[in-house]
Amino acid sequence: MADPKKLTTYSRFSGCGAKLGPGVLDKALCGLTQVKRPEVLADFTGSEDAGVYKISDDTALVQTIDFFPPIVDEPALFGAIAAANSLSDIYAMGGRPVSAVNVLCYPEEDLPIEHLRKIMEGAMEVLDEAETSLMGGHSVNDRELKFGFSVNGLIHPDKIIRNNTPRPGDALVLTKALGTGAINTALRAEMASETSVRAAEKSMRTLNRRASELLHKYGANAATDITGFGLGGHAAEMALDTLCCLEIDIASLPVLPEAEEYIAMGLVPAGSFKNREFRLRRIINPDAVSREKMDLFFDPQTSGGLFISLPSDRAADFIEELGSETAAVIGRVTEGDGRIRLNA
Amino acid sequence: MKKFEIDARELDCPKPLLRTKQAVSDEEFDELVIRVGNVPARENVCRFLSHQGFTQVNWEEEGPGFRITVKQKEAGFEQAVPSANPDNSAAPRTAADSPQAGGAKTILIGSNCIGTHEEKLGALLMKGYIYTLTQLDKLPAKLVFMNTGVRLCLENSESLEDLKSLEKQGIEILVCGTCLEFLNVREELAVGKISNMYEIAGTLNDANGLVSLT
Repeated sequence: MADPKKLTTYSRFSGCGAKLGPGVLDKALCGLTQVKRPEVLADFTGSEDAGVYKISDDTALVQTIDFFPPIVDEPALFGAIAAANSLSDIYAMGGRPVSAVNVLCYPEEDLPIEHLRKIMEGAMEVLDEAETSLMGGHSVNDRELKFGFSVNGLIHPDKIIRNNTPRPGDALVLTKALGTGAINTALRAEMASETSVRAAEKSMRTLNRRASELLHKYGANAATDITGFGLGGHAAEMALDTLCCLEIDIASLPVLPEAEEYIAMGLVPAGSFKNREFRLRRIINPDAVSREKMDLFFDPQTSGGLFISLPSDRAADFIEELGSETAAVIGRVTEGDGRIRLNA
Repeated sequence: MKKFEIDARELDCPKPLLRTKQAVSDEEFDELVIRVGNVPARENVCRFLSHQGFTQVNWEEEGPGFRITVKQKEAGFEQAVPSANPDNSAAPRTAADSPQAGGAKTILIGSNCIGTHEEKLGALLMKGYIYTLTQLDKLPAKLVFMNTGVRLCLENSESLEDLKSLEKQGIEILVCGTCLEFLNVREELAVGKISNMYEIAGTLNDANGLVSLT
C-alpha cells in the first residue's frame, strides 16, 4: 500500500509533466473551429496562455485553468505550487488575476482529509499573495490526486501581451531557472539532494507577478510562461508563424542546482522526450548542442518562469528592477522563418 | 556466468532507472539484463549505466520494448579510465575504452561509395567492405557515418543486415543527425544511433586509431 504521507505516490506523473503530449493535443484540436465573436480576443485556436474576452473598451476578462497531480510530498507546499502555477497564465498575458475557482480530484479512501485542509491552506496563502479571491470549486473522488484552479484576470484590451509577437532586435529573457522536471525525477528516484529540492520548491512556489507587472513598463513585445512543454516547446510556440528566428544561447540558460547532473545520469522525465520529438523540426541546428543540453532545453517545468521578448536596450534594466537572481538574458530575436537557432 | 534480470516493461520513468540502480549496488552479477517498455526508459537506463562507468552496454528491440544487456565492469577498470569530464560523462563508452581491446579503431565513413568517379564501383566496394568487416576477427570500435554515408544505415540499404550484425557484436554505430535531416531521411534510419557533431567530434578526438573512408 502507498505511504499515506507521500502525496507523490498517488499519481503516475507529476506536475506539468502530466500534460497530454503536445503532438496528441495538436492532433485532437487541429481543424476544430467555433463561430468567431467580436468580443473574443484570444481563444484556443491560437497558442496563447489564456483566453481573452472583451467586456468593454477598457476591460477584458482573461481566463485560464491549470491543475495537476502532486509534484511534492508536503501538502501545503503542493497547494501553494499548484496555485502559483494556475495564476501564471494570467501573468504571462500581462493581466491581473482577481478570482479563482478550485478543481479537485481526491482519493477520499486513501488520503486523510487533514491533507486536503493543508493543501487548501497552502493554496490560499499564495492566492492571498496574488490578491486573488477564491470563489468556490468542484471536487471528484478519484484514485489519483489532482489539484489546481481556474483563474480569472483583468486586462486592458489594448494591452494584451501575446506569445507569438516577438520582434527582430528584441532580447529574450527567462525569469526562473530551468530543471524542475529533472529534479522532480531525481526526487522520485530518491537521488535528489536536499539543496536541489529546496531550490526547485522555492522556484515553483514563486509567483510570476513581479515580472508580469514590469512587462508593460519595459515595452515587452511577447511573453509566455514556461510549463510542461519546456523552454524549447514554448520558444517554438513564440516563434511559430512569425518572420523571426529565436536565437538561444544555451550556455546562458539559468539552471537550478544539480539539475544538469541528474540529466547526465539519465534522470530525464518522459515529457522531455515527447517535447523534443514534437519540436525538433522547429530547430534549425539541433546538433549544435549536446543531448544533455537539449534535454535541459526541453525539460518540462512546473510553475516555470516568464519567457519574454523585449527591446534589447531595456533587458538589463528589466532584470535589475525585477531583482531576481535567476533571471537572465538567454538570447535574441533576429529575422527568420519562425524557427529556433541554438548557440552552444 | 551470473545473470541478473529486471523486468521494467510496465514501469514509468524513473522507476526502470531506479530498479537498475538498486541492482547495480545490491546484486552480484556478470551480466545484467533490463527489459524496458519504451524509448525514454531505454535511453535513461543506458545513460545511467554509462554514467556509472559500465562500458559494455547494449540493447536490442524485443517485442514492443527493448532488452538492455550490461556486462559487469572489469576489475581495476576504474583506474584505467581517467576521471570523467562532466560534460562527456554521459557519452556511451565502448570497447575502445576497455584495455584488452587496445588498437580498436574508429572508422569514419563520409560517403556511400569508396572512392570517387566510378560510382557503381564505389558502391560495390563499400558494400563489400562492410560485409568483410563482419568476417574479421579484430573489429573496429566505432563506425561513424556522415554525409551520404548515412544512406548505408537506412531501411533500404544493402548493407543493413551487415551493420546490424556489427552492432550486435558491440560495435557502436553513430549516424550524423544533421546529415539525416539534410537528406530528409531521418525517418528511414534502421541501424545505429543518431548522433550530433558534439559527440562525433569527441569520438574522433578520442579514437585510438582513425580511418577515414570517403
